[in-house]
Amino acid sequence: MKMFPNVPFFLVAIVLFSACVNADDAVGNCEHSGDRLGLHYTVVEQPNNDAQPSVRHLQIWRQERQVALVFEERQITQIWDLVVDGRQKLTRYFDAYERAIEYQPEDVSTATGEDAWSARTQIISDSARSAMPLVDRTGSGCDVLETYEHFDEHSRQRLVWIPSIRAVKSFTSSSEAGEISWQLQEQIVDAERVQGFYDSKSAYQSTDYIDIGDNESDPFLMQMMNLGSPDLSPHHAGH
Amino acid sequence: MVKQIYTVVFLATTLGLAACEGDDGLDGSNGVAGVSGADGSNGLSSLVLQSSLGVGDVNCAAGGVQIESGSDDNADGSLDTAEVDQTEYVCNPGATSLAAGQLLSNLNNPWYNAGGAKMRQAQDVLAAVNRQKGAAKNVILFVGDGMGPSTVTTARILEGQFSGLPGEENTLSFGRFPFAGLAKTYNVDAQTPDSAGTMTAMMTGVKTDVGTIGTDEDIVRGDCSTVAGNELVTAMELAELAGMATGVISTARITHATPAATYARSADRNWEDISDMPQAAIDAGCEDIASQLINFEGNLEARFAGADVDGLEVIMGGGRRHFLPNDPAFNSPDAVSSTEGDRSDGRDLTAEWLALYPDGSYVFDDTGFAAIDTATTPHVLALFNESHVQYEADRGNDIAGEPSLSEQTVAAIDILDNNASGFFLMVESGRIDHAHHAGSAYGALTDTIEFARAVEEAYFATDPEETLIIVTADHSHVMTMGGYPKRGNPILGKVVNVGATDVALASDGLPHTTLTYTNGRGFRDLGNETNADISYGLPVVSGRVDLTAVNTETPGYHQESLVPLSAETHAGEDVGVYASGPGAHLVAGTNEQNLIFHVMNYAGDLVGRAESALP
Repeated sequence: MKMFPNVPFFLVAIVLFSACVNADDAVGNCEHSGDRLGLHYTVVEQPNNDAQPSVRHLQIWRQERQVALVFEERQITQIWDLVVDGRQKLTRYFDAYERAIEYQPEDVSTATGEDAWSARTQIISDSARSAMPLVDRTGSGCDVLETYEHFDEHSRQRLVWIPSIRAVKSFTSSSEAGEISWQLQEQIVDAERVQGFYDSKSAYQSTDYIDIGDNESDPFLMQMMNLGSPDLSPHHAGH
Repeated sequence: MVKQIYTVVFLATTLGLAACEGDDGLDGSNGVAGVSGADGSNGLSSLVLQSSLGVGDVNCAAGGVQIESGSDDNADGSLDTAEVDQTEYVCNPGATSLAAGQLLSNLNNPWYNAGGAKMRQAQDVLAAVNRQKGAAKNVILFVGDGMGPSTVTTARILEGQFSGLPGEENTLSFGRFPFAGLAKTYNVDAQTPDSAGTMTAMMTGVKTDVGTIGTDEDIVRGDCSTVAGNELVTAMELAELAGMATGVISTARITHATPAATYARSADRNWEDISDMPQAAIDAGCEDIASQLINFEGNLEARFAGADVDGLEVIMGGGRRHFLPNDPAFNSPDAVSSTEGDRSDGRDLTAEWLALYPDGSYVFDDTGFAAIDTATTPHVLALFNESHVQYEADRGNDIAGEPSLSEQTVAAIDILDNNASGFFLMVESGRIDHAHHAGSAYGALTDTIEFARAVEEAYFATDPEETLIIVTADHSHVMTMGGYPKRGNPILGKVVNVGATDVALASDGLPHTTLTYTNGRGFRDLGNETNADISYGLPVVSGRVDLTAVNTETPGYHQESLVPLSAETHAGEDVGVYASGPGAHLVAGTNEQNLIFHVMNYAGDLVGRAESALP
């Protein structure tokens, strides 16, 4: 799913510009730290013409060192694990078939480290957010909302950030091409419900990416592999 | 042919006789002589044609003379073919000796002399063949998964080229074994086989179906109810019953088809742990492969009344996830998944193993492996990765480090040879196959080179007089070596013809590599990427690509393929079987793959020793 044409989704490249780095407010003892929750987003993309806007839905489920990204329209879920050495491990779940492909970290050439992981779990990386000027802060304690804005001659971005759970409440980007906006529709903090989501995926039959060659008789794998299904690529983020 | 013609002329005369009546009167005086009659016409000339015959003639192998004779019917003075009435041959006597000067060029040639020396060596080897049943105290079976003839040939060239040699004259370690043969790899129901059916054949002496483990062809794949009554006994189990030390090593998951066929029975090779099994199979009582590995000792004693065995002494491989519950609390320190284990029954098989063998060593990384005391450790369970072990070329990317296949082999032998009764060891290089499936000759060949290194280590770690070592493959792959590259041309490179310096161009005007795949995902240019599996996510590239600016010798280059397929396939051709030690001569010839079991059994007298050990 693309924020901008040709811009990777998960490393939202908010235009680099000089700004002071904003430190998060201390969220301290909030009931929910954001390590275990679910977030449901609506993404609306409106071109600057008479075309109808496109509406998509994305779910993010976090559980400690795991994050799941559910692309509802594509019926595909990606679950990423943060490995101890900073690499990321991907398992891709094909929800319509209840099947999964498991990739080893070396199968997936992605950026490593905490900042790359933050982009995966938060939509926007810590470094990208820090590069935007903080223009407003409302609320107190765990209800603080931070607003960041960036303008240049070509585009305008506005981010509303929930520091207590490290999540995007809303994000809007406008340019000559049109506008794309993200809206948080639902926030799930029930730990059992989060666990239940992950349990539902663990029941899928999983095949190692490595073992594809030894499973030519598997109809599902044959269907997915034929002519290089992009969903099978470890480099395809489900855009 | 020099012809010599001789002409002989005959005169023919005609005589007439008349009859008289009454008594004869006195003879009158002679009358006056009459006028001579006219001469008769000339008769036909007889001709003889003599021709020299050269050496090798069909009638005179040593040469000689051909003599044809007949009448000159058309009086043209020459003996035409139609006029020949008789043909005779006078042949030269055959040569009974050659002068040294006639063979001088041969005798002075190093190829000739090397061949002669090899012949003398072969004669000595034949004279020293140990035909005695049971002469092998130890038996080691090496399996290069997918290591077909083209893989062996090209790996030895690459190994040689890595050493700065042209490469073609190089020999992999097992290429120096005195005996070799071919094995027909087909499964009962498949012309081109898979690892499960082929390894079952090697380990039990019985060919069976694709995708099944340790059962005969009456099995129905995926149907647990068909296992009972169709179970086979493996060479590993016989060795165990015989009181030998036993071990299994693989660079694949230790529950994968090839190693599994040494110790398990399963209606489906994919039932590696309980979470992989359908509920019907679980309810019917089938045991998953990982559980069978841990319960090897108990299961064997249950099958053979009175048996008292001590279990597998050495288990080394990947596949740790099949031994742990799907609970993060059981994660290993080097786990790459948030929840490492897959088991849905809550069992921690590593803990169960330690409970069975409290004096054993469970290790999962290089550090643990290095700490094993091979002189005293009675049992080792080493699971180095959640899934498969790294490709040899990629081994440095493992988090906690993994020992090489050759290091594991040496350690295993050091442990196993502590048993005075001998040992049975199976060592698999499981990822030659994976690299080929991904279309990476570099990955397949470098794993093969390491495999050969492991064989060499085993040979020198054992007594060849009492150790049968067999090296083979379960099946082949469709990588081919073609074109007419000049001697020493980089085996991973583009073809440069004999006498040329520029790359050869095909009919489409494009360069081509020596190595190609008949089918598969085709061309990749991934540079220095050492993990061959990256290929699967990229689109299939069928047919030709302009390789002019491509470095085809990098680890990340995947060769072109002809037929676009989701993954490169196995090949159905025969594979090599190389052997050294007692009974090695029995692999000669073109044989069914299941003969390998019988060779091991004969040399090690496995059945006999097992029977003797049972009460």
